[in-house]
Amino acid sequence: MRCRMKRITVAGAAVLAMSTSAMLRAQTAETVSAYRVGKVLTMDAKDTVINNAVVIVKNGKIDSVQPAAGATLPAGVQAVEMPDCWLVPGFVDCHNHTAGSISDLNDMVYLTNPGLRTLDTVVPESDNVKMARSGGVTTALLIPGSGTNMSGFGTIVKFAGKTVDEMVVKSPGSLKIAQAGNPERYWYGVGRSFMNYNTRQTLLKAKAYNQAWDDFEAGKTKVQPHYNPVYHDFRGLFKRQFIASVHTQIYQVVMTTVDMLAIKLGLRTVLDHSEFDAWKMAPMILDVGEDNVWTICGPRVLHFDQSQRRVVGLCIRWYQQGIRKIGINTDAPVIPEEQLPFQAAMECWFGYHPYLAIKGLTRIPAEALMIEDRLGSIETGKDADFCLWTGDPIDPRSTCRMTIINGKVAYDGRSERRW
Amino acid sequence: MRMIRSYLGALALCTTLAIAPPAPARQDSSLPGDPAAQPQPRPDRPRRRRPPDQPPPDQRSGSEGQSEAEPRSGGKPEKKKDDRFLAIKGATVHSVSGPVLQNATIVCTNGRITAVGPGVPVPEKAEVIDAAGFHVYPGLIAVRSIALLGGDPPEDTSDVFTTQLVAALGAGITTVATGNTAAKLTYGTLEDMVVKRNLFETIRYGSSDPAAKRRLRESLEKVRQLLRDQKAYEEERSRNPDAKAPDDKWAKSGEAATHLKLLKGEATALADAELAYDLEQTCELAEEFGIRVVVRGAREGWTVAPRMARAGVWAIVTPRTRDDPDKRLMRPNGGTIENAAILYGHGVPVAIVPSQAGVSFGGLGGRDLLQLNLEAAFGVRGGLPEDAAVRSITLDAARILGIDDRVGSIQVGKDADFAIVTGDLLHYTTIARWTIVNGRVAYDKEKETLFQHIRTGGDENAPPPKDAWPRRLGQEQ
Amino acid sequence: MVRRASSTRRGGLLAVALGVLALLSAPAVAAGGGPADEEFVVVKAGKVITGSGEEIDRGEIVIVDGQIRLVGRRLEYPKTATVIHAETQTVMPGMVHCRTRAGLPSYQRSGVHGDLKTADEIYLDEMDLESFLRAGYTAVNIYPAGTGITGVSSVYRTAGPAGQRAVTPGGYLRTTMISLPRDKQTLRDALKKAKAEIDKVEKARQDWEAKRKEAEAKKAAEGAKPPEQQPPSPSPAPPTPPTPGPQPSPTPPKSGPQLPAADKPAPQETAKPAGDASGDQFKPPETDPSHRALMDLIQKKDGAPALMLEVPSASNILHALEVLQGFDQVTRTLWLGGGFAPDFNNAVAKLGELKSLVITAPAMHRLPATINRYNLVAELFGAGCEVALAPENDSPQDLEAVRARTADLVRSGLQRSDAVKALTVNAAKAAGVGKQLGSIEKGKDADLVFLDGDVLDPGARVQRVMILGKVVWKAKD
Repeated sequence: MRCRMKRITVAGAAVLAMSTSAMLRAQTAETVSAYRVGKVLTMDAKDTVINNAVVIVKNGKIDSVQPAAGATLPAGVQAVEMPDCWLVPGFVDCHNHTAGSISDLNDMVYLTNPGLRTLDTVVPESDNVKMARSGGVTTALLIPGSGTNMSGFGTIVKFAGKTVDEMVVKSPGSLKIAQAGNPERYWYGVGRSFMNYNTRQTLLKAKAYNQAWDDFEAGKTKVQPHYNPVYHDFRGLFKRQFIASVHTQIYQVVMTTVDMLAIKLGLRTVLDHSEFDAWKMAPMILDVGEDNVWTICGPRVLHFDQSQRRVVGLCIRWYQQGIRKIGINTDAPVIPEEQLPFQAAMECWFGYHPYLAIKGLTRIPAEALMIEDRLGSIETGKDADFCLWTGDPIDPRSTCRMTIINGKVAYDGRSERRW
Repeated sequence: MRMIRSYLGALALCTTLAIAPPAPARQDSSLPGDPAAQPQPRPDRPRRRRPPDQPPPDQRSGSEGQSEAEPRSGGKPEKKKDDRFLAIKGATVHSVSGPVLQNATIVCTNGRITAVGPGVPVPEKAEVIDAAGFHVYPGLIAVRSIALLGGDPPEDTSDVFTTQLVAALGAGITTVATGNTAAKLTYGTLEDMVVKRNLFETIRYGSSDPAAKRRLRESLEKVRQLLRDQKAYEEERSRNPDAKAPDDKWAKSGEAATHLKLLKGEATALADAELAYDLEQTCELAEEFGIRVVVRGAREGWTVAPRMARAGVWAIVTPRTRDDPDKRLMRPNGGTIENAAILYGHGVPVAIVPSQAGVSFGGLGGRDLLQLNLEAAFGVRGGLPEDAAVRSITLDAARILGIDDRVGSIQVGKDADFAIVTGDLLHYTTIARWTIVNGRVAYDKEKETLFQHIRTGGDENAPPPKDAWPRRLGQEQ
Repeated sequence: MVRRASSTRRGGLLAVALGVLALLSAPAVAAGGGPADEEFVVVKAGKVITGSGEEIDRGEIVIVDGQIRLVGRRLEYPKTATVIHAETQTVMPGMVHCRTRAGLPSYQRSGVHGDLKTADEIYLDEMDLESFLRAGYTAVNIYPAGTGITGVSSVYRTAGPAGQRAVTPGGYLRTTMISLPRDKQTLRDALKKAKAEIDKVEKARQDWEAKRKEAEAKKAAEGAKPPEQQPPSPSPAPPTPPTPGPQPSPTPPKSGPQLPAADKPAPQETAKPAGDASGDQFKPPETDPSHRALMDLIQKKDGAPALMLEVPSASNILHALEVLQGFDQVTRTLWLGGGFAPDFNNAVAKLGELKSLVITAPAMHRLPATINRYNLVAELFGAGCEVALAPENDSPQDLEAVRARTADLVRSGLQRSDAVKALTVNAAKAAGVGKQLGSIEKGKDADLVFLDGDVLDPGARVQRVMILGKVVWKAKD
């Protein structure tokens, strides 16, 4: 009890502090900084890599990326000199449960809990947040656990900011749906047919609610529908403004996911986990289109294929089946968030290409989460969220020396080494 | 034949091999059926207490004609019946104890390294591995393992065909501590498995159990007093022949005997200690009683590293251990990635183990023995020099287990245990191509299904492995 | 069915049949003129599957006093002979179930019990063996339960005259290598002790001989000349080189094929000499009865039952072989038992090298850690082993399914001839009764099974069972 009170006080204090700092910031003039580095992995659509470059940041956005030779720095700006380091976009994790304390993970009230949001549980500047950014992860989708079929709306946050509002990139960022596996343990246990029925019913109700509002807004109906806080957030889902992130794995379950959510309900679906032999569903996903169904592998990285006594890596297996947009996640705290790059390294141990793996930590998850206009690559106009690495960012030997979020240093390993 | 080899293997434990003979003697007198080859009566003590440097009595039956003191290449004419040669050619050899040799050849005879270097002649009958383009490291050593081999004694309990064993070999591991024994991953054979028994005497000296702590101290003090009394008695006896010897019967068995061994320096203690306080206390114990201690865990070792170095305490660590600092404590605390590097920097020998000591196919990869090399790579992340990281899973690990006379580096005279890998051992796309144990190919990636399909170096366009799904009756598998 | 088959295959088999006829024609005449008190029975079959490789269409079997005298076509026999018409049926040797408890309870016992015989726990009158007869089994080899060296199994006919149910000599010495390290240690210790006992007897005999020689010499010295030509000293006993081992020790009368009174525990083979301690007869020292069966094996005594090892995995085969090293004379019969995921694929080459006799169940085995199946039985035959098939358990369904399951193996690559051998001669051999049972050959017991179809026709049922020349069981219509 005392503990909770303390937390509330701290939060209150933080809110106070925040508001003052926000006021201060509004008054300051434009902020400019520059970084001279050995290599920039821009992770842009052209897969540009620039050796010896200068990246200039203005007001939290990337202003320019230029070759170091002949780069012109704005007057009065001293470049941060890291000529041995690689500059890599901040990593984006599509699947993280460490928004708040571990007791916030799952509110397993009903088998579907359509109105809940992780936004209410986010704790800024927690140890998890600090560790995550020291590991090069700057953005994550914080989602509720998979203890129920529908456990609420996720929140896309950056791992910087002293208030929740400062952290949030997008809320709701996704609707969390879990199919098979964990929710089977709900109460006395449920099976797949009932779980799918139940999920479908909830979504159909939400869809009908959205349709009623759409019709009203389009002037097709005269009577304004009753506002329902449980279903109102679903409007963005059915308008495909955000995604359904689905706990799904094993080919039969993935088949149900793709069929029910992506095809029948037309949702933009992200297959979180995509584990075991889910890769067998690649042809179906290619049919539906990779823009409609995104494959994000993790926390498992390998699958023991009993047909041939093989240990296969998940990413390489999906790739071999023709899937090209493959992301990688941690399911933190299952894998600590700071070890997201190591998840990519493990995929490469099994034969996946390191560059594609880095792509699976940056551009692809950003696209999957529909935040690619702001994040996931180093391009002019995008958020200045990047990290300076001592080398290949997914090599366990490399260290993230510095993490910049919104153009500001969020972690400096030179003075405060964490990971 | 098998018996002789195992005997020789065991014998090698007690013969220091600065220079290995070109071919170990295989003496006729040790052939089974020899009249002198009478089975020895089993010693009275239980099997677990067998002295570490002796082969089990059963292995000695039938080959007693050769006494242990006898050198391996005695005066008798040797009968080189079927010497087993293995040569590895053209590889980059990381000897660990010495320089890196380019395009070198390693020649092994009967499971021992007999020559290393560029242009070393290869015996005619040798099995040759053309390892051009590959890197040879000493076989990796896991100072902790679960479910790879059986318990003590491993040569009587192990299943040498398990998938886990193959996978560990696929990770380049050749020697593990299993139970309290250091043993080789001898796939498909029980020969020459055991390297050393009774690795450690486990002690409990943590703050979680103050009573155990007190008991240990009391026992050590009592035994130390006995040693002092015995010394005094020796002096006294020179003057007074009627001097009464101190009673030492109580110290002949049980805990006291163990502690006697520790105090005499005949055994190494193993203690689990994570926090600074426990580590300091353990250091104090080691210094006070002059005992050799290896601590396992040592999460906060970085805060007391100089203390550990002074006390001569060694450490088995997991670099990735995460423990967020408790800000209420007015001292540095918690885990850090720099732990291994800081300990090493202060001169504490470090062996690295992953957080999980088995091999698991559950899917959450990268934390078990399959990626032992990458756990060491995390040590480099924290500042450990690369060569020290390699040593932490080879030579230094062998030192901590007390088996560095046989394994841990590529030197003439040492066991022919190698991990022949595709590149830099600490890189995340490096994978074993062959693993050699006792001069035998224990693992060949292209012949084992487990990792055979993996195209290293990220050749993502390599054809996918043949798939058997969906399965149809009568379909070719 | 049979008729059709025989008519189509007549041409092909004619030559074989004629050959057999030619070979046997001479004794046929002799048989024809046997003494009048011999009881002749003649079986006229649609097809005779001899079990040893031949299949004779329209074959005939001449049985005299319960033993097979002739096999072939158009044989001669006295007019008084009883003719059994089975022209529509296939006649095969009665099958021997080489590993069964036959409904007896299991119990926990460990250690060395070589002196125990299943015979001691059996009351044949109380056993219902009808399900065995129905499945075509004319003999069962009932093993003693427990772990370790559990004792010697006993072979009984499933029906027949009360005094002739026991088939002797027969059975095997059952040893388990299942629970490690206990079973391994048990066998290791037992072998060592057996060898020590042999040496003890040998030494006592040498002492006795030395003493006798001494006495003789003394006698010779006392009397100026030996009164008569005493037999030269070395002759009464066989020459005695100091090596212990294979030559038969002069221990008195071989217990030989003494027929134990039916259904009664066989009298214990005794090492006590028949003669009294008159001094001119060597009296061997007492040996541990529980190890005598092993001693007989090591000394290769006639009629000593083979050692049968029960192993659940390939690795345990290695463990067993390691212990048996130096005891090459100990026959290697193995039961490859079930277990969760047996990996016997790893042992096939080794077993082939040893030419082992392997007992296993007729089933496709799963390659470990896969869902793929392979034909272990065919692989073992291919590697050079002999395989005997026995059902996994003794439920009536499993007993009856043995032939059908064997047929499955034939469809998956097992040679038909091997399959028949595995069901008949090899099974009898595994049970230690290969000399008496298992095939339709001259001199063997006339234990026959009449089928209404081919032996590997899953639909074929046993119609009649003959034991010692008499039909003891008929299928009900």
